[in-house]
Amino acid sequence: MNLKSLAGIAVAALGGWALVAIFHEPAKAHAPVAWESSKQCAECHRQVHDEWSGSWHAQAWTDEEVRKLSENFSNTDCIDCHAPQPVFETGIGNRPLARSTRRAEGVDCISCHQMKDGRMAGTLDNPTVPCRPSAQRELNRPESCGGCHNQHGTVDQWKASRYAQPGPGFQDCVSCHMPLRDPADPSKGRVHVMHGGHDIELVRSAVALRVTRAEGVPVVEVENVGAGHNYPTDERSRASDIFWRELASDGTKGEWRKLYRFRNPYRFEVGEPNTELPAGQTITLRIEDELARREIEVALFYKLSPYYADPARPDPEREAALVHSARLAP
Amino acid sequence: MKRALVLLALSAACAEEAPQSSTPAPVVARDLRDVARANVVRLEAEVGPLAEPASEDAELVEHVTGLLEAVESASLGRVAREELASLAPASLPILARWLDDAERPAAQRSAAIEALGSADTRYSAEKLLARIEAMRTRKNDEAWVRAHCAWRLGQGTQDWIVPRMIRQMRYETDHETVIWMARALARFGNLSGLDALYVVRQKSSAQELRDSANLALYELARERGFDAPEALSSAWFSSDGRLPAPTLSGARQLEIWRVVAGFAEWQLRGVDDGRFTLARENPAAAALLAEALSDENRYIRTHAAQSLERMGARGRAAGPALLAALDDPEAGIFLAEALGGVGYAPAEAELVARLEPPRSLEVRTAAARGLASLGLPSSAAALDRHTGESAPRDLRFSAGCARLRCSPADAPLALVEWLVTDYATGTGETYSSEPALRTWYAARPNADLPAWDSAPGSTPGERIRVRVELLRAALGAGR
Repeated sequence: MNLKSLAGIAVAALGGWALVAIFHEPAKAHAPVAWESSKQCAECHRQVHDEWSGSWHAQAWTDEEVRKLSENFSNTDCIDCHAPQPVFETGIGNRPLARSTRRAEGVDCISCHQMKDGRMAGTLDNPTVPCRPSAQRELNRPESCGGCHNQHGTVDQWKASRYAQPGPGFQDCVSCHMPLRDPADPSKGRVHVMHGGHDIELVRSAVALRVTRAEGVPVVEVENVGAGHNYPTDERSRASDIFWRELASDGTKGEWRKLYRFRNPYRFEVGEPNTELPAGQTITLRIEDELARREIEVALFYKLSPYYADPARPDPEREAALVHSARLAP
Repeated sequence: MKRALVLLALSAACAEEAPQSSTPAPVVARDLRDVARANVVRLEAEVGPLAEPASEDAELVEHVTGLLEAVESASLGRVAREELASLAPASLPILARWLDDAERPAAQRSAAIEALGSADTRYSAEKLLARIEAMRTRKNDEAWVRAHCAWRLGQGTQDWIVPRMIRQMRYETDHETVIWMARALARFGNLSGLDALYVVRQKSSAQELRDSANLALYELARERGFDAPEALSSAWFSSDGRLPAPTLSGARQLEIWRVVAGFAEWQLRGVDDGRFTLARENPAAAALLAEALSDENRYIRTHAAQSLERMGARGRAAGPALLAALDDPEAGIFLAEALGGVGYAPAEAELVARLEPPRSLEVRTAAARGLASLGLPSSAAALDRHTGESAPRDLRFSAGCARLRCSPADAPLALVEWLVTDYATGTGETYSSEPALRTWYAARPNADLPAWDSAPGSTPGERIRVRVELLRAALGAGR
């Protein structure tokens, strides 16, 4: 092809592009919509809305436990995180502030997605649809979650873990708590159930329990193998307890005896240490008890609330969720 | 094909870039500036640093040590105590070390507390207060030491201890210490400890402490010319001029401004403590919080407004400042609620105006909340326009609650029924609907208010169930 024909093609292409640019009517930008409820989102995003509706974020205001602890939110300090203004309005990474409206919707679509100008943060730009999504990389970043969740240090714990290091092992909040619906096709979006401590299978994947004997003494190891933050994370309410009991030869089981508790206490519990297990770390404990030289069962339980009805005689099977257990022969 | 790709690339390069999100800076008409930190800096310069007294010499250490060790002596004890009470400032660090040393005999530490209290300086008060605050980080820190320190601080003149002592009230678990802290606060005209005294009087496991709390309540009331503690509480909360209004020393203002500046911190823990503290401060603190409404930091403006709202009538002096800042695009909704909280009636017209579009639903709802707290009958007609089924749900709810509180006797029954239905779910904003429905219920003939008020408080659900029954009976009678 000679230079002349090449120039001709170029001129023709530019002319065509100019014609398209002049006469093509761009898709009309959608007029701003007043977002007053996340129910509005369900009209187009039914699946996401349904997932969120079953999530604990959706119950941040209505959950019985939080209403009891906050005395029906008459303790208004709790509102900042349980009914926050959109995080893009207060600023990603900033502390959340309470909103005046739709508090019963808790941490809803608008809380995470609405931007200052009324558009919705998403993964693509499209000004032609009602929510006028705008691609915002911050949406998926831990800082988006951190306004509330780092109040308890969870994001800082993650930053100190190997999961935060760039490279093939990198995983962040959404990797585990909002996984892709179809890893082969990211365009299908992420699951909005945002499961966490209420999902016992997820809790089970976070820790490993190993029990052996050393000169007859049971040695219990708990390793944080899967959580990208402390186990358990969240100061205040969450706790995880190791119990053990004797298994008699006639099949009867002894009373549960507490060996250890993983927990970061309430601020009022002065002098209590933080015993959470950081990501990747292992704790090793010995059961120095003559009874434990017999056959025993060791179990790790998880609690959403730190209290037992009778602290002197806790009943973990009834009051907590079993994470792992192991039998140990004499 | 290659040519086509080149052309596509060329055209793509020439095309307009995809629109980027823009987050315009908020438009704030007022002159915002660094208020809180500037006041901290100014007052630190005025008040001066909390310097350690001049270095001690070995002779002084020996002298003070000898006195402290002599306090238990039958023959020398009285003389030693008298001399300890008149020691020079250079002795104070020695006394403070003795106080902090848990290995020392109780009588010697007690003598150190007395001597530090007698000195009545910023330094000595700081040491006593820090000893009380240490229980927040040290388990089982001795309660008797805290109680003694609190008592001694209540004998001095260091009013700047008030904000920190209020905060400590949030954490203190020893009832005797609570009693002396409440008395110390009252010494400086702050009666926020009355609530804690009521709790100790009712719930302490020891009869002696229940009696002590009761005695404190009556003494505090009578010292101020009231027959009963309930009347004193009423005067404190209504801020109606029946109580003297102490001025705040520069050191106390400094402590307040430090709390205000702390509102900019990221951790909610300190912010919660700050709101708790300032909400219980004296009316004079309202002027400082009013000034903080012009701070350039939105968190400081927001939490200053929330603190004022929680101060109630004691914060009323900030009404004009709140009103002037009402259109703050970042903190305006909190200011609207604060105007109601402090009971600033001149704000009514402005709040009514903000019920209407084109104000955002957030602002309209917050304005309704403010009007609810104001509770003025003259607001009823304006609120009625927003309580119909066509109103946005949040606005209808807040305006409905306000309507009941402003003019309960003639509130539409359909509105009351709707609010009762919402209240019965137990999952809405019951802290708003509960007082509104109580106001409406109290206006019913034959209202059984004792039954309402004695509904079990341990479980919110059970309390709501009892009250809904009362409300439904009243609604049935009203038809």
